[in-house]
Amino acid sequence: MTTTTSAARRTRAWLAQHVVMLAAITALLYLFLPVAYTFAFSFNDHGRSNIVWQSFTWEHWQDPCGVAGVCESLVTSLQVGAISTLVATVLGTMMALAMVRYRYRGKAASNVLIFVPMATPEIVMGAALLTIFVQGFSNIGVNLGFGTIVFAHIMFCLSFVVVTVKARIQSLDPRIEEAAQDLYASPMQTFWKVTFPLILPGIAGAAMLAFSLSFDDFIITNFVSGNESTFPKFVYVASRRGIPAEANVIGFSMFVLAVLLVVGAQLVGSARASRIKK
Amino acid sequence: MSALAHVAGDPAVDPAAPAPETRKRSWTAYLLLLPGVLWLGVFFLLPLVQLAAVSLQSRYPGFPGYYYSDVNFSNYAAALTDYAPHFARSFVYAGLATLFAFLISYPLAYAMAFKAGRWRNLMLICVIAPFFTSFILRTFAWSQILADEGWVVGVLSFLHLLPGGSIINTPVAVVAGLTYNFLPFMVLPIYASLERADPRVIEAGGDLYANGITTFRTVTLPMSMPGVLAGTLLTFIPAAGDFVNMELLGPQRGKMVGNVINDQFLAVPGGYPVAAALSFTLMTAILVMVFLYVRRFGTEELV
Amino acid sequence: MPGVRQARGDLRLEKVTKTFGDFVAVDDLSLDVPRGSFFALLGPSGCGKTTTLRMVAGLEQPTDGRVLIGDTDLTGSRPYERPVNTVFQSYALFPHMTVRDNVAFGPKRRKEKDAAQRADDALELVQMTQFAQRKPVQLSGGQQQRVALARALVNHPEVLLLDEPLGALDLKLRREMQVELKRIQTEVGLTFIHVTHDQEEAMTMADTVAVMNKGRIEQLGPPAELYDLPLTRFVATFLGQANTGVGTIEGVDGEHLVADVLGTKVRILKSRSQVNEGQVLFGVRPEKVTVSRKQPDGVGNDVKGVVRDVSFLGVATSYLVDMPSGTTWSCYEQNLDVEPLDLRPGDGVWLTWNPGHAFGVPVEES
Repeated sequence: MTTTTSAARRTRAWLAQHVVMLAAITALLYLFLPVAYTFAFSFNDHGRSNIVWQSFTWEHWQDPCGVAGVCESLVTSLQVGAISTLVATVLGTMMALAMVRYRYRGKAASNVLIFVPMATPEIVMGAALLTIFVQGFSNIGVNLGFGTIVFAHIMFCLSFVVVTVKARIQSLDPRIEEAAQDLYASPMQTFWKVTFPLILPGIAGAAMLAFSLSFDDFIITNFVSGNESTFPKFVYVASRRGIPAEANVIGFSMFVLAVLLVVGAQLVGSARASRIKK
Repeated sequence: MSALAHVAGDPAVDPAAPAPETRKRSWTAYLLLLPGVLWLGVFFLLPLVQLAAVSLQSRYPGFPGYYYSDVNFSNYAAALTDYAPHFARSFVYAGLATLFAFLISYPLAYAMAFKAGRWRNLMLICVIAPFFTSFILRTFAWSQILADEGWVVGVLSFLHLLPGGSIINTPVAVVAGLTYNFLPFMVLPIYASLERADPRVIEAGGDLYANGITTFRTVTLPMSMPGVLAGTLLTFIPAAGDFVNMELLGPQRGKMVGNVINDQFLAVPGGYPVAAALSFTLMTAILVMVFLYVRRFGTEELV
Repeated sequence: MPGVRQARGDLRLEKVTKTFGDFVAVDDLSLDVPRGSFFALLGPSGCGKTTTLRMVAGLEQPTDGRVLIGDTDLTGSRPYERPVNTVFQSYALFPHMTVRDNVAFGPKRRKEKDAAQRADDALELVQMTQFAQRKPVQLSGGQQQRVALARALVNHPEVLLLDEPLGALDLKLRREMQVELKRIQTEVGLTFIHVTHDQEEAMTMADTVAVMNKGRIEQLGPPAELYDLPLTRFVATFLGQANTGVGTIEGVDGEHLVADVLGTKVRILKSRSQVNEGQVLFGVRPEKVTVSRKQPDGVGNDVKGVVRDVSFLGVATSYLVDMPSGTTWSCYEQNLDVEPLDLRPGDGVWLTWNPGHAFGVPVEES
């Protein structure tokens, strides 16, 4: 290999590396553009609709609940998210455990049952839920509202929880659980002392995923919510007239909160990792 | 949030789970499965059965909004003839959005997996973070960014790159919105499968072929195929059923099938049967496509 | 099952069979392991040795037969009920616990009051005291191995099972640990059952070696005995090297059988042959064969061959010799003489051996 070709190769490699990085950074900027817009317009001293930039104000940040309904819908969304996450995470973790660690009849069927909801468009699920709530369950006293939203959210979060936790359990060496049994731990002790602590990161990840799916869902919620309003629904309804800047404040705050949470978790994780490396 | 990556990495296939203890009593398994299966039965399967029944109902002539149980396939005929253009638009727009999302995502995922080094986690957070601003808010933001008075249109017009003079309320804006909204669903699975891949294999490919493009085509891309497969599904499926992007960014006429289903259910009296037929057709079409797609590309060999 | 945990005595397997679907992993196996002995189960992968071990641990249940310690039947009892502990091949340390917590896990489950103290004692025994506060990922392979050993030993099990415990270690460390394991076994006096595919490892450490093949025990005994007088073709070839040839027994000459191996007459002691007529697989170990340039005077048992390869190993020289029968023999000659033989490939040589060192086994694998 002569010097010139290796130099050429190095230049090309350098270029390739930076082209990819440049494309990646452009993509990230593209991802953040609407967030930046949302942030900027949270300071807009708008009139009836928050579409054209007027002038700067702190007003919306000082009183994010200043518009009727916005904070009520936020509270509803947080409640729905919390309950759905809790139930979906518990049920999903149980299913994932059964699907990885046990043999049973109908395993293929249970895999399909988990997969199909993920491959079904939300609008179909929403439509199906609406028909059964209106034409079937209303006869037994189920009316559209908070409850039906929670029922629906648990349903569509469940598959995602199962798949996430399953991946974690599959990555766990079954010998570790056998070792616990070998060291006199009963099946319950094995689960709580060994299995559970080891799959907890997967469960936590699944719970975060479930919460974000629930919190941001609009399409299914729109079908099954009746007169109840969640935050996405509030924003959608408001968008016809112009979304009040208070919604931008709340939307952006959720974003900041989530980033802080993720960064915090990362820092704790890397602190633990660096302690281990010592 | 590595959870998202996990999810997306393994949507369909269940790799043969290690079963160290074959004699575990299976009633424990059934007890663990029961609540979740019941929930999916009552709130997923049962509603679909009901939806199927509704899709076969007939209207009482002269009484809009009233219908009776029947086995009437004319709703499906209507769904397939009257709304064929809507289906076509849904699949074309979703297909384009999937393609663009793939083109944007792959370099990003590749950079995160192989080039980012210690910035990897930060980039991962950057991909996930915009998710937490409500997706309606972000879509609405796009409608403002792409508005005729906005700087994007201004710049493009100035450069004479925009013959129509407008982006908002065109299919272009809809595809742009769909591409944007489901981008993380494409990035994360591709990233997950690239991250699992051994960079030394790619280096070895570089040694064998020397040509970067050949290495990519014969080594890198096939290795990331499970992620690409998952990513395209996770992008295409919600995009094909979406109506919010069309509603906020699209034209008044020429809607997608999602809009029709939404309107028929929530705005048109007596629209249930046709809307149900539309829903079922959409779901079946997507499941068939997913099945064919997974069968075609789900295997190891691609090139 | 009350009393299982208190079972004391020899480990006994009675006609144990384990099938997975159509596959017979362990086939009607009976075994007696005296209390306090170091017992090795040796065999190639897939021979059923690990399945046997797992049935003793309770991680698998036999399809048929019984597992006993002393007079207590363990069959059907769960792993956590048995006075048996395992050192797993991958160590299977609990990654979320410190080394001390790993070791104290067993005593704590059994509600021992001095769990922490016993964990520390066990760590001292394996010389890991200074690492007590670390997590498993912070340890090297050899250190993890010691922790796994301490975690099992701390419970003073009636039987300690070792599943290829040294498989992941490099050669030097493996040698060290072999000595170490033997020391610990002697010190604590527990029954050790050691599963391995490494014949050298089995022979170095164990009092008794059982060679397993296809779910059955082919031969069982002290290592030297197995090496000196294999009873089957599998044992002859799996345990050490053997120069072999298929022959036909033609007659008896006093204490010896005379066999014809492709035109060469060889003699085998009657007591060292498992067959007395028909076809026999004749064998002799490489170090028992003497190489010389001239035909030695004596009682026969000599064959002329052609040197194919010579490797000088320091303490010994190894020769590969092509035999008239078409096979290649290997021979070790200790370098005792001042003047070496100075053989080169292509040279003709005479091979000879003491008929008392030859053995005969059935030609067909059982």
